[in-house]
Formats: sequence, C-alpha cells, structure tokens
Amino acid sequence: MEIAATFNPVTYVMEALRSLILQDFAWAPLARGFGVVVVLGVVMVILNVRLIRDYDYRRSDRTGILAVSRYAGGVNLLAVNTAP
Amino acid sequence: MSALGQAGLLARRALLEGLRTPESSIPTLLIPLFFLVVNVGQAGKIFPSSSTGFLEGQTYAAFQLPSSLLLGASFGTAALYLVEDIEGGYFDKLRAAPVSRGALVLGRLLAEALKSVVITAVLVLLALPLGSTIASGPLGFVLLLALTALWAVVFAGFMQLIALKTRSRGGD
Repeated sequence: MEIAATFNPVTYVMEALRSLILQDFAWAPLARGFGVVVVLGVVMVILNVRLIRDYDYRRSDRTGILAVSRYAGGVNLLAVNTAP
Repeated sequence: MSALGQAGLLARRALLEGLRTPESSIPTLLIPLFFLVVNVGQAGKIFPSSSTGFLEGQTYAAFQLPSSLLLGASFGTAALYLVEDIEGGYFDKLRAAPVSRGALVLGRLLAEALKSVVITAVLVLLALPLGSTIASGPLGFVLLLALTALWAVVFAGFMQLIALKTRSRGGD
C-alpha cells in the first residue's frame, strides 16, 4: 500500500492540505503538493489539446466534408478532405 | 482576440451553465459534507485530540477535512457539460470557429477552478463548527483554495480526456 501511495498524486496533495490545516507553514509538503498539481495540470492541458487536434483529423476522415479545422494565428484553416 | 481572452469567454459560458443548473452543484457540496460528518462522528471518538499526536492539538475534523475538500474537487462536472456540447453539436461549431484549441480546453478548466474555490470555501466554513481551524492562518487558507482549485483542474482535465475520447455519456 505504501508503494501504491508513493505513486498516487493524491497523497502529495493531501499531505500539503493537511500541513496547511494542522500546522503552521511546512514548506516541503507544500512544494511537493503544488509541484504535483502544476506538472499534472500542464500534462492534462497538453493531452487535451492533442486530443482535440486528433478529433479534428478523425472527424474529417469520417465525414469527408468538414475537414481539418485548425486554429492558426486567429484564422481557422478549413480544408476539404478529398480522400475517397 | 487572444487565446487567453477566448478562454475567459468560454470560462464565463461554463460558469453560466453551472448557474443555470444549480442543482448540479448540490452533490458536489453535499457528498463531501456527508462523509466529513459521518467520519468525524465515528472516528472522532477513537482519536481524541488530547491523546492523538498526529492531530496537532486539533479535532479529527481537521484531519478529515482535506479528504472532503479533495472529494469536492474531484467531480469533474466540466466533462459532463463537454459531452453535452459534443452530443448537441455545439462543440463542432466551436471547432469550426476561429477559437484556439488551448482556449477550448482552458475555458472549462478555468471555470472548474473557480467553482472549486467556492465549494472549498463553503466546506471549510461548514467544518468550523466541527472544531476544524486553519492553523496556517489567512495566507494558508488562500493556499488551500489555490491547491484545491489546481487539483480540480487536474481531475477535470483527466475527465475531459475521457469525454473527448468517448464523445458520449456511455451506453450508446
């Protein structure tokens, strides 16, 4: 269980929250807690954006009409999928 | 408009969605509160603050509160609204509009963070009569709100990944 807890990000967030509630400032658990959520937050945003881009391509494959709709500098590039 | 401005507008829309259906926020508040009260009622007698070192002189409610805060921040309702947008076709309209892909993601996550701040503040307030206090003071309270909100962003981001992959509420 301890090994599982080591890999569980909730452990570090929980420790940081507990340190804020139960003690005066303990910087080590706080740094770990914030570090975990910032890193995971960035990873989640990147994965979400990648999945939406993937969504665009797959959608164009399926419909064949509303094709690649990608944002590029404020202008959406709409292309028609000409694949049979 | 910059991607950040777009994200702000989409966050506003997501918040209005939540305000139009306030009943959707009730479980987010009631379920963590229920477990807080039940656990404190049961385990509070087993761990008296006078003889339990890890409580640092506080009641068991203070020890249990972080679990309830994380539970309240781990509902990921943003993903449910996203699936509704996908099924209703609104998400396709957004994709066809000149909207940054990052803003599409950040808008909902920003709204989720703000909702989490409110829910966390209410839960901390409701935990006060149970004998819980924030030992690190007002600055600690602000950090508590920030950390819980960031966790809500992480969890909602994970749920949005599932929503974008499945594109349905399931069962069909």
